[in-house]
Amino acid sequence: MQIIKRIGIAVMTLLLVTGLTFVLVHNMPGDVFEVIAYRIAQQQSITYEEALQQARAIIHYDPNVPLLTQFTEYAGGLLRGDLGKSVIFQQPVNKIVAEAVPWTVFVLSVSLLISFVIGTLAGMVMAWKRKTFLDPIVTTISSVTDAIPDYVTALLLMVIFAVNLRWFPTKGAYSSSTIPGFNLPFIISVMKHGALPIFVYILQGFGGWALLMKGSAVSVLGEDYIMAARARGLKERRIITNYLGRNALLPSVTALAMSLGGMLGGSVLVETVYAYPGLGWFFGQAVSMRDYGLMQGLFFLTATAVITANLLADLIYSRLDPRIRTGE
Amino acid sequence: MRKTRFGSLLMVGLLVLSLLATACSKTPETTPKDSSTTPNASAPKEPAIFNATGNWNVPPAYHGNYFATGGSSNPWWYISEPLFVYQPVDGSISPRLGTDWKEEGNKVTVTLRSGVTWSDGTPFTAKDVVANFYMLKLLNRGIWRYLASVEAANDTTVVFNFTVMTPLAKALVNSDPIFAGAKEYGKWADQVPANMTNTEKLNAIRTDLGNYKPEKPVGMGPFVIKTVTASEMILEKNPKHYAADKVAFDQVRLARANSNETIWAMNLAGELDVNHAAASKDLVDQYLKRQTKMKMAAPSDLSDFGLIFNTRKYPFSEQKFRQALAFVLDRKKIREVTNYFGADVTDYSHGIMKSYAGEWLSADVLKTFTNYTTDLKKAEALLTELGMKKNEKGEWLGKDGKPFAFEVTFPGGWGTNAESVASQLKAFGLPTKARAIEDSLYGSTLQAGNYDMATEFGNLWWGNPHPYTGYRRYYDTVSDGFVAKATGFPNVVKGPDGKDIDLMATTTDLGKTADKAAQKKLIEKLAWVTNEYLPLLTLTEKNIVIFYQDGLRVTGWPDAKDPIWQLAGGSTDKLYTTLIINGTLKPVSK
Amino acid sequence: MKTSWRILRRNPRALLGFVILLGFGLMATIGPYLIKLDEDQNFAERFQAPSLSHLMGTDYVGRDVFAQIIYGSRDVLIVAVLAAILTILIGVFIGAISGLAGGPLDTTLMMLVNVILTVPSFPLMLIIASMFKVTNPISYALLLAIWSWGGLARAVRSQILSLKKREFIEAARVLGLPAGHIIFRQLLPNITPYLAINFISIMRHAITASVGIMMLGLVPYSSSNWGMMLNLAVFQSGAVYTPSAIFYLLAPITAICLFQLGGIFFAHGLDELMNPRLRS
Repeated sequence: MQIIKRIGIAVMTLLLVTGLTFVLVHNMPGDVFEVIAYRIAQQQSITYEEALQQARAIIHYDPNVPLLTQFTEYAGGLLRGDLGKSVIFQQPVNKIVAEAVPWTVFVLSVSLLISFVIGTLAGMVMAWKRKTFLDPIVTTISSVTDAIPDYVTALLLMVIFAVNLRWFPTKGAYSSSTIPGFNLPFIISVMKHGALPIFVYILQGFGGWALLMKGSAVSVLGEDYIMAARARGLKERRIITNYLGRNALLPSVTALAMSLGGMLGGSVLVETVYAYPGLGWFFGQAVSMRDYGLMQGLFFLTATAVITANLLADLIYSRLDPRIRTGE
Repeated sequence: MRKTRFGSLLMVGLLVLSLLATACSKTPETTPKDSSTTPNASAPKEPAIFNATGNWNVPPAYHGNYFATGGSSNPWWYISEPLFVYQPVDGSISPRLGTDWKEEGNKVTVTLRSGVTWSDGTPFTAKDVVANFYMLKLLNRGIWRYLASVEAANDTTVVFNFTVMTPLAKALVNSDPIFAGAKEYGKWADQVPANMTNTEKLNAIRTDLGNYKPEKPVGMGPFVIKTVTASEMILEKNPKHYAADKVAFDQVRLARANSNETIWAMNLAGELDVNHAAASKDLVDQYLKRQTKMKMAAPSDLSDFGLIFNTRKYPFSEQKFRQALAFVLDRKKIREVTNYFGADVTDYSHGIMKSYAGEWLSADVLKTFTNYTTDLKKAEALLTELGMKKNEKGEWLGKDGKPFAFEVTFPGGWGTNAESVASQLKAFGLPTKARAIEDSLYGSTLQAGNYDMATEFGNLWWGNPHPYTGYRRYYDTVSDGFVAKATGFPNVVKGPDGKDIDLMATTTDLGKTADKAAQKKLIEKLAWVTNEYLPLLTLTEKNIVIFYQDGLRVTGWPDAKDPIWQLAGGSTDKLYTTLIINGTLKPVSK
Repeated sequence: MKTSWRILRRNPRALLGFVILLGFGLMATIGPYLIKLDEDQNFAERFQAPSLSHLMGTDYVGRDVFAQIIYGSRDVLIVAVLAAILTILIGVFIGAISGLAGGPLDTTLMMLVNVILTVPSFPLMLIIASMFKVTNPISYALLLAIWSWGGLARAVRSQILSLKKREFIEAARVLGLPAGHIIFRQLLPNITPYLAINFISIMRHAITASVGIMMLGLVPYSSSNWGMMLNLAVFQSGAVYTPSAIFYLLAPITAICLFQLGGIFFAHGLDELMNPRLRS
């Protein structure tokens, strides 16, 4: 029953988000033709007015179709699994998404897992031994990385490691001298290009995971059953793995599930800095070029991912936490 | 706990130090040996590579149809050829696909080179040229304002029938390479002649054409596209090209230049043989320090920057007020700050590109023009004439006795121009702030008149280098007229002789006048009006600064003063490919 | 008050945070009266290293960076404080109504919160930024607040739900005290500490977002704002690639990070103050 209610709420939310973003996107001032015209004028060295006429001639988008008609068409497409069409690229959004998603997922899942594992371990140790050298170091690192906005970190890393030291490339997802596929040069190139963005996300995430784990571990440590276990003289290892770890990990795992869902939407600035052709980069492009179709499609995609992840997190939580499973 | 504070200070300190260290450290003065773009010297038969830049749509959006969105971002000058190469400096043309150009009345006859083939093996004929120009009609290209029809007299002869012989004919016909052949695009091009005025039918053709997305373009140029990714494009030499024996490069590698910073980093590392990413003086000093073989040439971009005034609004509606602002602004200083490698425009503002003005305005004519060299006294006198006074804070007061609060509007990433204007006006006692408007809103904001002053391109002569192109942008509200629409400047004003002059009619006349002396007469009038009424104050002429590595991997670049660099105005690729096809550029022999 | 000071004094990190925040506060309020912002451009004096006459060097047209940081701080802080106040007002209002009213109103409001939390906020802010003309701190703060109150509203609601069950509220209800009294005298004081900590973190996020949006060049209504300084430094003047411009580039970055650090440290201190369990 509970699950059905949750799913109902999720579907409802998704409907509202779709409607809301549709209305917002279509009320943006600015003209997709003007943006394109300016580009065309420079690219083809023709006058602006000529370019504007050309843009109108070749882009098939009629802004005068009533909003409701546009929405029903769009919603109908969504039901058939069609995210719509990009005005600027004149391509189905599905196709663009299919190309962009792997890059974003690659960079974010790798960095998320690394920072989660390191951070959680550090957090646990910090909570268990409150006086280790680890605590001040981790706290400081997490404060500093938390203090520096991710786009600034991205810029700084690029200036240091790409521009000056030249250890990594500055832009892109792979070098085109390699052939995409399962071969060593390509994989190495992908790794090299992904290294800096991954590093940015690890730096940004690691401290948060450590503090989250430390927080929940500290409060679990205060619980009676840990006291009891200690009083019974159980070995430290057993207390950590059986009692502390299992219970303190709950909030972290839930947060991990939510982060995995949220990762599809939250990387516009970093991907823009590294010109990394993932979802965030396309999102930035869509907004600045007023590509209504692409914006809508991407909003829908990220919203769906977030909602699904939240739902999953709920389910995981009730699975892992016996109190919730039996209660309510 | 004390440890923590110390730790955090240490971290911050380290961060700052490492930054300083990396930024100030001496980077290798020679070029990198490990760069993947430099072929290994020991490998046998290494390809000769030309490294430049481009900006194409990233796959999956990439495709090879010029006439569908995004397709024009292909490096067309490398993969295709124009009929002739037009040299804006003297208006001459030199043969490429065309070998002979004959003008008789309203008719231009072009003879084609024989033996040319497309990269798919089809022979190149006059039918392809005809198809190409009818395809341009689908894009509403400007040439069709003057063109009535294009015909193939035989396989190697094309006839252009103009409705009126425009001074731009040579420039218009040859402004682009050939984008479309009859084999690939004939099914669309063939429908155009019968439907020249049928917009609905043309739109239907456009819709159908827009859905055609070939994987790669077909051309007959010196190179063929091999691979395309989000960051790099690789082109290989076309062995069937008519001048293949002179083309000394096996490969062209284009780095995708979607932003200047990308290119700055590559220039510092010496990865490019040529590029034209705008860079500051300091950055260029850096390049030259690190890259000892790098040189630069700065031909005119065929465009200039200006400050437009909203003449619908007091006090910008006052001619004398606009003139006063022209006397206030130190345009040399603005050029230094915002466009260091550009050319100074410090005297007049007559709407003709400064570097081409000598050809059209004689010294005698210029004597009758107001010279706006910075002169604060004159500016003060003009404002006083308008009944304006200064208050005790040194700020000028309007007719209503209130101090002004102006805005200089500028598009997104172009703030430096507007900032400079604002700070100078403020220092003079006209409080002004710079305000950015998003690119996608800029044009409509200006045309709606929601601004005081705005930074904008003055002239955009790209492709059609002639004063007519500029005045069309200024005054011809039917075919362009961006400046008139944005400023709200009236179409009829008193001319130099005290008689009314219809600016739009005069501009249209200019477009129909082939005789140079008659053109001059009309141009002198328009120039005088532009300079005296100042709907737009030209701030500085833009130069394309081309950075080229001479002797690193590529050699043979012409002297930086050579007029051939002027081919770069409008498209740098036109210049590079011309130099490659002429055999001027060669790989450095090892 | 006395205990707060004692705890603050015993916790040097929180003290440091407090001092940093105080410093920024003074800088924003008094600074502009002490230092003149000279906007005159002088190309020959660009990108100078710090010296007595230019404490943080000069920018790409030879203007004093220190003065810009000071004037910018006023701008940045006003926006951040306003954004935090607005966010808290909206968040508390929605959360409180939702928590107190319950029923269908609660369900509707929480659905709204769900929607807000689901749509990625940064792209959305970019879109909203294009829809109305941001010309002053208030409109900018509104832009930042309009999509940021979801989490707070949800938290306030659950705080109120748990408070509702406590004895003293029940008692007040039984006594028949008016709803206003219960809200303002009983509930609000109980969630104030929570709001105080949130205020700082919302302010930090507002600064990150506002500077980020400005760095992209989207809402550039003031040129001495740190975000605009970054935009000019990174995207327009090539300072990233000019070694002598390093101080110009680092000045706004350091200012942002230092403020954020101050906020984090102070918030930790507050946390320990309100949460005796965390005190070691």
